[in-house]
Amino acid sequence: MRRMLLLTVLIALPLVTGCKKQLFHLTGTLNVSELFEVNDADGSYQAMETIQPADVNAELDIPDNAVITGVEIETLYFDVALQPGNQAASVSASAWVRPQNGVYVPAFQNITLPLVNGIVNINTLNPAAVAVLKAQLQAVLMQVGTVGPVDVRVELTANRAPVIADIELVVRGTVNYDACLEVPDWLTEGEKCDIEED
Amino acid sequence: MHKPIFIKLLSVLVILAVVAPVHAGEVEDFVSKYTGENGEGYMQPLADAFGASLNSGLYHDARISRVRIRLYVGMEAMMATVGPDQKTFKAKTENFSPEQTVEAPTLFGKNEPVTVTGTGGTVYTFPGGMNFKRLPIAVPQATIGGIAGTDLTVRWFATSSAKDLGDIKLMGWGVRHSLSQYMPLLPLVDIAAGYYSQSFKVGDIVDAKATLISLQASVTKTVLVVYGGVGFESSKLDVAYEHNEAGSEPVKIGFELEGKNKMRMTVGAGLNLPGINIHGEYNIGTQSVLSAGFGFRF
Repeated sequence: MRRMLLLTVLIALPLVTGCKKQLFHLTGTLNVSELFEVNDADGSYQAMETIQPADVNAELDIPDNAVITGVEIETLYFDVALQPGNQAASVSASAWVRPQNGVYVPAFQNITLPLVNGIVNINTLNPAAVAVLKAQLQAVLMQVGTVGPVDVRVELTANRAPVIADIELVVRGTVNYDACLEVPDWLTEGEKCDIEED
Repeated sequence: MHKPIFIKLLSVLVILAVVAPVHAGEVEDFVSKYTGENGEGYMQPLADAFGASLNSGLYHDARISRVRIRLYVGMEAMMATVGPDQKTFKAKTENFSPEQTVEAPTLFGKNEPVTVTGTGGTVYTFPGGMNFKRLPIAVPQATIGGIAGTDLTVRWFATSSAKDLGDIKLMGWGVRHSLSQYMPLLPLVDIAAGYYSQSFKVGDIVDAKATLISLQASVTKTVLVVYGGVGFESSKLDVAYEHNEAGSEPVKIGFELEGKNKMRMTVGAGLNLPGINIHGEYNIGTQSVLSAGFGFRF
């Protein structure tokens, strides 16, 4: 009986064990964020933070043998965490981005940011600012153009009410990459893997 | 750079038969973009194909002895075919302005991401699929019976060696009873009714269940057996995992997917050679499945 079971398993093995490497076009998400710790008694706040190339690299999470083929900016959003003492219900928010040795480019102007815990998407973005951010991601991740920091300046204005909150401005990007993955034989109609392994 | 757990699932499902270690397809690379409704649409064809496959190959005749105990030990290989309608689904942009709906690839679909453009030059990307042409699985199976026209079928497989995933366990059982023993006017046709239940688990990540109630019939002519049946079935595939997105806290993601197959017809044929049975069948349903197997009879 044991021999027969073993024979059964051995005959079945070729059906299920063969694997091959195939090339896949994949996408990953990249969130680069700057935190603004707002503690402002009169409801008027300005600050500047810098997205460093290292910040971008640190957030990259793709397979080691992947080849990045493109980068896109998907959206910008605020992630708000109210702190004790906050009295403002909302703020008017504006932001600018500035590439290395460049000028400030408005990203969005005077949008209403409700001060509630959670995520608030920014739906009115300036294409020129999106291009600045995309260029930085491409430079860092794809070695296209000049690698450098990007300054992000934020202005928040409340109606004389104290604003006490941690407000994160998040740049959400998409990284398109090619990678070779090992998949079972028979399974897919994929492309031949032509990425060199380390 | 990390390479996390999620579903090496796919390879496990495919190879759930007899082997470990499992070479994992990094399915998270495909599905990680989706956390909500899109994820269900993206993964649904997998649930359909896997559930329908599990419910295939459970019998290969309808003859059950009333007095003679028989044992069958064998292997069943099932292959769900992937149709064009399983390659795309209606996907919506998530947290993107303006919201847009497109035909995007499922996990089985083309390996080409689909993009849409939003305000300010932003771009939303729907991930591509794995370009599946079929989903094969194989399982060991044994049947013992011949007591008062009743037999018991068992599928069982367990291992803990698949990396990162925890224990993998398939447990299935079914009982069926000969109806033809009560029908002396139908001497040439064997008829039986059966109920089957299967459970497949991968650690805390995957929990799949499938059940089948079937009415079976077969005609035997020397070594040739022609068989068929109708069945009512259900299946579900629950997937839960922790998604680690760069720059964010880990998020618990869960999909509860119900297989779309509810009814099936089976047609098949087999050869009862001395000590050995080989057979093949086609299961016609919303999700069709080809199945073939062989085993030793005692």
